[in-house]
Amino acid sequence: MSKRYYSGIIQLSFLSFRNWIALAIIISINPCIHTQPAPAPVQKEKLAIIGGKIHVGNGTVIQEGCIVFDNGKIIYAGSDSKKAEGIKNRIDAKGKQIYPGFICPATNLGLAEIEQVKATIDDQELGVMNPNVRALTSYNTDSKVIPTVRSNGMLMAQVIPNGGRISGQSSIVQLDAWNWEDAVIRADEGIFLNWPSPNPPRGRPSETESPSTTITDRYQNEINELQNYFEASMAYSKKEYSSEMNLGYEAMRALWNGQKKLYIRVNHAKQIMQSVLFAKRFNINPIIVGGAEAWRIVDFLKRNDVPVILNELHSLPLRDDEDVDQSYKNASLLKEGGVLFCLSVNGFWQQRNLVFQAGEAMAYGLGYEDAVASISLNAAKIMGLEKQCGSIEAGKDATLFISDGDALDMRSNNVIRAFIQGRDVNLDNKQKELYRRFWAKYHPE
Amino acid sequence: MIRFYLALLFCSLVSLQVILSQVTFPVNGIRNPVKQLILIQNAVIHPDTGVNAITGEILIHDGIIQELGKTVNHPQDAIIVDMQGMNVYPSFIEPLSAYGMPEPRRTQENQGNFRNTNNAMISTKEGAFSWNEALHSETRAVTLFNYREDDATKYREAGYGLVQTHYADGISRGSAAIVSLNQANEHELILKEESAHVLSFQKGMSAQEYPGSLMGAIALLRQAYLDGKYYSTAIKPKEVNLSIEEWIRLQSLPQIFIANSPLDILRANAIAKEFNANYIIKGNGQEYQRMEEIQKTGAKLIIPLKFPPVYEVEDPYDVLQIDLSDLKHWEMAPSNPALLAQNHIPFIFTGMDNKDHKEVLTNVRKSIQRGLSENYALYALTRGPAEYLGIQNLSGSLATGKLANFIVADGNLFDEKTTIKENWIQGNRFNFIKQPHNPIANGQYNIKMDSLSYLLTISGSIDKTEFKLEAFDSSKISIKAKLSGDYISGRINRNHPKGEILFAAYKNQNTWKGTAQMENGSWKEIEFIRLSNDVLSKSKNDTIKPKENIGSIVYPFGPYGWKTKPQVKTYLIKNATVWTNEQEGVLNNTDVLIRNGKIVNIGKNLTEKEAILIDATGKHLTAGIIDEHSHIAVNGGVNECTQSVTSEVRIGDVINSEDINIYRQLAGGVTTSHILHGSCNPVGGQTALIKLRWGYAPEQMKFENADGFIKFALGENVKRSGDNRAGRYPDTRMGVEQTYIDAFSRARDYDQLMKTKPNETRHDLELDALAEILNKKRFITCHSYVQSEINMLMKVAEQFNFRVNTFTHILEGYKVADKLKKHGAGAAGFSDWWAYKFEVYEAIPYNGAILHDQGVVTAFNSDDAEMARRLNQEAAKAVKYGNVPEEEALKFVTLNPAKLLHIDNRVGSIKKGKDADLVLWNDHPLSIKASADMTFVDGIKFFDRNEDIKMRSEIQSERQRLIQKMLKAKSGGEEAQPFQSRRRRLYDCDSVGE
Repeated sequence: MSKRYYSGIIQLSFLSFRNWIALAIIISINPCIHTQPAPAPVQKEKLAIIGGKIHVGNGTVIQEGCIVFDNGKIIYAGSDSKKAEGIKNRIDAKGKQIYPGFICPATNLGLAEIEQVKATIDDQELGVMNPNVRALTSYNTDSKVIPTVRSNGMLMAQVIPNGGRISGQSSIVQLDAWNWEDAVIRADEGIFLNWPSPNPPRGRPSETESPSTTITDRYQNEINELQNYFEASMAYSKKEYSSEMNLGYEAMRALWNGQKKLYIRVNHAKQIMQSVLFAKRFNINPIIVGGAEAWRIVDFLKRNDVPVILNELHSLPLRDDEDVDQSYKNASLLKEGGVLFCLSVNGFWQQRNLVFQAGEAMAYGLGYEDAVASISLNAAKIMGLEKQCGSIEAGKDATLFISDGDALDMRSNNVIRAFIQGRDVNLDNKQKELYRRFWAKYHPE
Repeated sequence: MIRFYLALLFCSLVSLQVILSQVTFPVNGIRNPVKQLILIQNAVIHPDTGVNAITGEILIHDGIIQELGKTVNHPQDAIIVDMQGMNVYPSFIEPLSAYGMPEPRRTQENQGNFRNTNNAMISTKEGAFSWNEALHSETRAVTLFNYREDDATKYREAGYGLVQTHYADGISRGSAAIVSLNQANEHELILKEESAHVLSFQKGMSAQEYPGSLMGAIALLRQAYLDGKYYSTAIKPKEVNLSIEEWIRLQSLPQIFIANSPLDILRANAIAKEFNANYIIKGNGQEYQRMEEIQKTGAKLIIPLKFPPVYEVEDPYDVLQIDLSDLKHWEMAPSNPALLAQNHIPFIFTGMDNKDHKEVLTNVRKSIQRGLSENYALYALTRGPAEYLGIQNLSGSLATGKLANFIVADGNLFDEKTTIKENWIQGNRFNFIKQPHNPIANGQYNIKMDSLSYLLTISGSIDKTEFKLEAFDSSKISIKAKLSGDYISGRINRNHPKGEILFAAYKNQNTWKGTAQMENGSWKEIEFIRLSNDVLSKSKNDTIKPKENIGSIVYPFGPYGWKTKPQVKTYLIKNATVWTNEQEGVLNNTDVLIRNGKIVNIGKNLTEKEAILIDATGKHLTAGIIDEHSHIAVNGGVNECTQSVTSEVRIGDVINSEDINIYRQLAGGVTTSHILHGSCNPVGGQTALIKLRWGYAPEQMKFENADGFIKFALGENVKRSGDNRAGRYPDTRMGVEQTYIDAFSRARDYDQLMKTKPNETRHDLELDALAEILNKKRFITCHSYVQSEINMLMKVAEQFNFRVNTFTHILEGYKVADKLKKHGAGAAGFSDWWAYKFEVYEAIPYNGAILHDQGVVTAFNSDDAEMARRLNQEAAKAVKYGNVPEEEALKFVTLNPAKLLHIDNRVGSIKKGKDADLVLWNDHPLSIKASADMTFVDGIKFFDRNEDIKMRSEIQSERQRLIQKMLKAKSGGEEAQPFQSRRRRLYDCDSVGE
């Protein structure tokens, strides 16, 4: 499916794989070259990775496995090393660990470059109901941040708009591309909705009004507004052509026929239930993003078949009375409850630490391979991409990486090779380059 | 009947009755000579606290008690008031109110949204007053006082005779006055023109930005004392400052301080002690939560009687919003007065926080049910306030020569059924005959009308009458009626097709007689015949309440608080992998003995009989984590953002020992935290170093004898890049440099003056702190990012002949590592943060590795309440990014910050003689799998995973108990209110405001 996006870069694949390695070595030796690493060329030759421990992504593990991929797709993944016979290009991964490319399921990566410099921020449009705005076309493949995320093992992302009540449409991209068209895995995947909050807004409570009443009223009003918008756009969709074009309602159209998913950002148990019941009234099975308190209502979520993108395990408990490690435990509680979930972290540059939050989930009760799944295949499943990517299985994209040690632990995470759809990704980044530059300053040889 | 007429007579004469023989103002009409002798007879008189009641008489003349006793003189011309069956008590005194004061308002100039920062530094008050509007000692309540009939009525009905009133705004609020609640001209109501100096930590309506934090308010107050001293002793003050003059004058009055939390009481008291003042401190009703510390202050308190309502707890998810501390306070609040009394803490009551003054007596009664003696309750309402305010010769008890201020009640004042019938103020009688229900009417009656006969039951208490009508043949029937004194009217519904019966009756001895208009319109006689008093006596029996089961007080008051504070014990930790951070490196299968808070032995196969053994097989023992940059455990804001130099403010003044994050961080192995001022200004405030002694009070948390530090900041934050309110100098990095040069030049000049002419020099807290830096007695930890500014500050320091101790954040430190080393500065940064602002766009996670490689003492810190819980993982990132050896990486969060804070002689490594600040990890401490099993501070086990799990279930069961209790209270008729969730603020460097 994604092949058509390659067309733009095929002509650049004049560098053979071996030449490419040579170039990388030159770059790493010479600290003077300021790199924004170029996207890797299309896979030309069949490649085998042999001897590594394969964390498949589906909860299983293969000791001393063998992976063969060609034309960007995995041909074989298993324990039979004979499958690699006769393949010229091979990587000996003995003692190394191999993981599926990890997926950041909700991030403004590529839409923001420097948090506090407004000119570099493109993830929040003005207005309240913005279902028509699309993250994809603002996704900046040349962001200096992306290579820093990639080099810790995150190779795909759902880039999302923020702000407003309906923020806009997300898209799923791979993290090594010349432009957003090349980056696409799935365009315009879903609509992101911020569920209203019944809590008082930040700041001092007004003493003149009765805060409790007005807050309850405000909450209800905001839900009503949402309801009106959904009803109106649904009615609008009944006609194929409208004499008066409404871009917002047009964008909502794909929700009604199931072509797009509805992602609802909400954290508290009661609001999660309210938001799911709201979506169900419109025959939509939503995906919960946030879900800090999803652990309290696992039965509800399971019964309604609602998956959760569990955001930011590294959070303080919502309340003083809660277990001090409540957030750390959330993932394992959802697993025990049988809820389909994946992990995400806030922000863009922070995405490089997603892998360690999976590690944290593992430290607090989630099995190791489940932790791997929680940032790979589970994310793919939630986005409906499990047939294409998310695990190291034959037929899927060859998007995976090799780490020297346990990738989920910062002590040993060391990504030495990464492939996105079979392309051998350059793992250098701006920060490594600065490191080399200044190391050389202090250690002239 | 006589009483009724007398009341009428008095009420009509009220405004004239207290007029003294001569006044300065004209009277519209003829002079109305009034009999001014009143004789009260047959009353049960409670003249004073601690004195037995007598049945006797009071003779009043001209509003003053002439005589009081079993019998007194009976002048012929006295009006005689028979008070048979009535109890007489001194009227209450409200020690703190804003009665008769104008509403505090902002000045005209500040009505808009905001003033630009430049203007916000200047007072909007015209004249030679304090530079800061929040210090307006010149305000005199007496000049603002106006009689307010409505408010006075409410006070009188609640039993009050006098109030102290003040202009409730600002930090120095000027003088308070004592006024009578009588009905008269202001001239006659003012009993004491200046009775107290009132202070608080609240800036109030000031149009100025400073102080923008609690620590700023404290600094301002401290400087006010110093300025007062300077002004009164300076050989020749160079200025006339009316506010300071008044401040000095008011020092001879009682000093009343309004505090809003138990910790604020401690803070206020600390200031009082510092300047040899004595504060009478108004609390907030939570004093029981820090009883021991409050008791030690020795301060007298003014305690409010506002108890939280029952909360709505019907939705199990909504209930989650209510914190355990709120649930527990709901239960404990009525016990506060009794607990204070049991701990011999002197206090009086105020109704200042109650919207309805009558709540005071209701809540005093609740306090008595929880063990407060009636005697003390009366004291805290009457004699006590009189004594505190120095007016015991005027009021507070009933005796010859004192004001005839007393209340008349129909029983023991503290009995739930008793009502205050009358309140006499300066001999002026206020009669509250509008009681909606008279319990005397309670009982069963046989109603007869036409040929019908029903059974009526009247019941109810003070403000509500209840009627129940039954037919003898049990046919369906109902009544709606209104009882008003001796008159009853209403309607009876017996399901008659034509409608209902209307009736009206009046009391005629033991029966009631009247007429009923039947459904068909015909008029019939109606009669109520009293059957018995059974109902009344039965309801009395109901009032005997079973003893309440009340939860325990924990420290801090909330989840994970201790019932008893953990104590130092002797522990022998056996067979651990010990990361010594010393030359010995990592020792396998090693024992560590801790005793009296210190590490006393490290070795193999240690034994110690008295020690508690801890099997640490397979576990790792490290020194406690030290967070060089933290903003937890602070009250009232971490930034005094209002000026570019605020070295006078001190985080140490505002440590919040009750912050749950202390406990959460113990669970992450943190034992010492450096609590910093924010990064809003080039020179921020003085920092505080605390050990995470969870449960202890702020002063007890402070790291003993640690060197003083101060927070500086550079770059975008101090330029206020993200703030629309530009205008505060500096606006560029160029200006930042000049701000420093100016500040240190001023400090140098000041230091010189202080050393040569100490008596003639104004003590300036801002310059004191800067001079300490010049004299190498205070050390800088400076928020910094880019290399240019780091280099600049080092050069400024060198110019003034000192060194920058630490650069914090310092994400571009790797670019000037050699210069840092040469200067002698250390670095404490984030492991891998970047891209959150322009000045960190060149930040790299290899920063720590390069700095370390260049010999700079390097630490990783949090600046974040969440991340501080896993600084061990942050240290591990130094292994990932730059291959720092594991032992060295661990030092980034233990020994190295200890060095930066000059406490490495006490903490930071596992060495004989050092403090037993230790963490026992369940795994390799740099591993993602590691979590703390136990955390010790000074040999005290403040965190234990197993204990923690126990506490979790205790929290849940305590919540459950309290929720059930609330449901019961609500079913029992208490009015429930929705809980208003408060968002507790987490601070980081950039947090502005409280």
